[in-house]
Amino acid sequence: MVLYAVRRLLWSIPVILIASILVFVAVRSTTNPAAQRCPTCRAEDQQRLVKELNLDEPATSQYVTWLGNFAQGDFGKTLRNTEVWPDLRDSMIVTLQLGALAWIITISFGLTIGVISAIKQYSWFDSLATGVSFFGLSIPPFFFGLMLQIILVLKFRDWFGTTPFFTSGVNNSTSSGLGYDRLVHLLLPAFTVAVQGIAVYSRYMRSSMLDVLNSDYLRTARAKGISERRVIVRHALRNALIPVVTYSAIDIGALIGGLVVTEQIFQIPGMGVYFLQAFRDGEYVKILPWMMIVVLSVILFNLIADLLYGILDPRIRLD
Amino acid sequence: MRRQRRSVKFLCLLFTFVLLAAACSDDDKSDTSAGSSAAPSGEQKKGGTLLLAAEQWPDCLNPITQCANASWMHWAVANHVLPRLMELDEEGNFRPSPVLAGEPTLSGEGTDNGTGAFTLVYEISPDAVWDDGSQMTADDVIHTWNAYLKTTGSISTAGYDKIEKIEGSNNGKTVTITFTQPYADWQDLFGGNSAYIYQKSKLSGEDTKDDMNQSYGFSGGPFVLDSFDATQAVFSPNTAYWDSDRTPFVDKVIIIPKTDTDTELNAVKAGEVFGIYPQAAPGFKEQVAQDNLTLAFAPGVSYEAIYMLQAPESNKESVFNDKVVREAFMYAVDRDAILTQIIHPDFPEVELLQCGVWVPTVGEWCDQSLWADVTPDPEKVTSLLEGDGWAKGADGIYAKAGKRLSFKWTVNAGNARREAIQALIIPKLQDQGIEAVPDNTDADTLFQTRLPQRQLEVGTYINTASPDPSVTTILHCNQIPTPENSFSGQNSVGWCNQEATALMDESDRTPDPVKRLDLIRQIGKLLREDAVLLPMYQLPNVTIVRNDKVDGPVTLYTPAAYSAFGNIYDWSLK
Repeated sequence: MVLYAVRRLLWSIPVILIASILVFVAVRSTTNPAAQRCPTCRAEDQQRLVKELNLDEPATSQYVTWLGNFAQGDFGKTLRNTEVWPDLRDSMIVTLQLGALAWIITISFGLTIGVISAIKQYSWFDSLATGVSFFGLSIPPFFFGLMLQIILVLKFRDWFGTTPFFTSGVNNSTSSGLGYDRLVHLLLPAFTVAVQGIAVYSRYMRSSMLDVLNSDYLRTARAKGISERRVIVRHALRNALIPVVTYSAIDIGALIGGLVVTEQIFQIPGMGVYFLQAFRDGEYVKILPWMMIVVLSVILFNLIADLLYGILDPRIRLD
Repeated sequence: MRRQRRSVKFLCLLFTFVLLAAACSDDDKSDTSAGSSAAPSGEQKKGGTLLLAAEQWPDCLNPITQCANASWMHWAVANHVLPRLMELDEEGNFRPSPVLAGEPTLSGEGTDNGTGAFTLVYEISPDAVWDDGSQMTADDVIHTWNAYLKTTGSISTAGYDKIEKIEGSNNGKTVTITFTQPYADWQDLFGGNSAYIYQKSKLSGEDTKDDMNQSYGFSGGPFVLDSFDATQAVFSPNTAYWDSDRTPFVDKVIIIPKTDTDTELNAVKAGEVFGIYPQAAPGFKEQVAQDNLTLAFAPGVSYEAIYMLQAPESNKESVFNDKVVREAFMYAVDRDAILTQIIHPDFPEVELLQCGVWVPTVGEWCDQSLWADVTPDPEKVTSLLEGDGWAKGADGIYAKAGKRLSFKWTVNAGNARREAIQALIIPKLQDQGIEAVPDNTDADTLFQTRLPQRQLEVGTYINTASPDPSVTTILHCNQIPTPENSFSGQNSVGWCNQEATALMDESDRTPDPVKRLDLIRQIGKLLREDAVLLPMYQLPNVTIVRNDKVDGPVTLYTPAAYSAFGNIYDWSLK
């Protein structure tokens, strides 16, 4: 297992390098850093900036310089002459919090619904869950998010005089940091992100459980007199989880940069909004590390998914 | 069966818990009322935190560079912190600001005391100080003058380039400004609509390009800017502020961006913010119909128009370089449909604006006959274009010498009204052989980068009419932003008409209102002849506040050029 992990990490290096080259080429070819750095500058000032940013050097030299700086954590300065990392870090933290909460909700509800649907196949619950899943899969996140705002904030307030939810932001302006205030602010956007995830995971889990429930070894377990609850939890669930867990590990990696719509609707200053703003401003110094972080997270979580697969299924030898 | 009963019990318990949680939690989710002291009825309470939302969020704060193109930079931040010499009241009239001890005096050519150079004398109040306690003096005014002239990418040098010298006397409290010629729009210098004075000792030099982008470091207004970032602007009262009439009631003001119209409305309905100043959008009157919301409408000094940029940086060969195309476009756009379908459902009293860059509620400058003949007329569109050599291609779009009559139309994304206008008009243009392609972008990119750099072909946006009718800053030939002048100037539409420019120069040095009116009207006629823009309407200003959260004259500044937040020093919490 350890050897496998080390080997996969080593294999990741050329993947990361190739990805970094593609990212660098894509971003540099679509932005004009000197012009955006100082749009109101005179031509001679722009020339000075070209030199300052090494933009007059060959592309390979620029790439090597950039990669070296990136590896050392030097992401450069923005158009406004501020450090890139603090804002990027803050955006990442917010998105991680939102993503983690959304993932917890997704897994909790999705797996539960999937297991019950499989156990109660063709029951009213299974039919209802199937219908709701299709609803969840088909509803656009921006529409769902706005509906949640109206129903759970505004209508709730009308009916009960108050509501535990908020329409936007990550904290009340008089609060800061991670705490109860942030948690309740993130609940609605997390539900918005989770709605499609719940639909997907419930279907996955249902399908996976159905495969497992009809297995011979479960029939043997029941024949031995083991309670149905124990059969489901100790035997069926673990094996049914294998494909779901690996899929979810990959899903987490994609969450890092994929919450643009939800963050925009709920005015959350996360990675999605960060990227949109940087892209619109042509801030290549912000786009480059953003894309690399997304690439790294996808690679990392793919590795985790593979490792988990080996842990969960001893039949699989990781070598 | 047993499992079903358990499930039902669980659901009931969960539902009960939710109801209990909802009933027991505090309605006021923030501690914005903390610290408010009780007060006798009729008096406004002191203390607390005022929460407001801004519909657009500035990317930078420098009022001298193109950052100043964004209205919300002024409304959300600068207006509360930076001082002016002359200011606008809620009705758009000029008056001395608290910085001044009284009305300035004018003398010289063009005035009643008409000998010698046109001269302006300000008396700075002996109480007027910066937040660090140092006196505001003529040195600050002189430095401000140089900053507007010498900053790379200065938003406008108009007027400042007519000043010959500025002298201080009386320990710097008397400021004497001598002009090279009479200058009628003197009130917009160092104040007025969008200019300020700056503390010399806190700026790095006369080129302020790198200053004041993310903070100010000084204050001469009722508030101090504590912090500014992408998520909020935080203000606290300026303890050195001398005008007791403008001493803030609250302990803190926080303005946060809510750039999505629906989210902004939901936020004030939910009480997460206490006031918003949204642009009118279709259908929102019904959305905000609730007892604890106060809606105020007033005709503002803002007008919305469709601007056809000439030879923009993004497309030097734009089809709108051709005056005939601009003329045809004006007759192709159905302004009546825009009004009846998009504006009138919420604001039935709004009428078409026919006078270009002035508004009928500000002075007599607006000549409502100028664009009155521009009505939707497909036949006229056809005759104009075909008479100019355009012919419809197989795709139904006009073409001439291999160039299709196609352009990009830019508005700020998320603005429901402007996007609705695009959705309404683009198909109608298509039917008449004109192809318009939406090219929308967020507000701060549009107003702080693309528009100053003239990186669009056609734009729909608001301009604000100053009480002074001068249009030099937005239409003079030498105010076109170009790479050569570091994108200095506000003539983003790129119109250069030498006859109009000469009239602008003459009107600027003509203080006599009767003579000036004639000159302004002539400029208007030339504007119409050259089909520079298509005015649409004077936009009603809207303020929405939570009447259960805020107190004071909260809707007084609804019609004001400084926005409804122009007097937040007078707002208090309930």
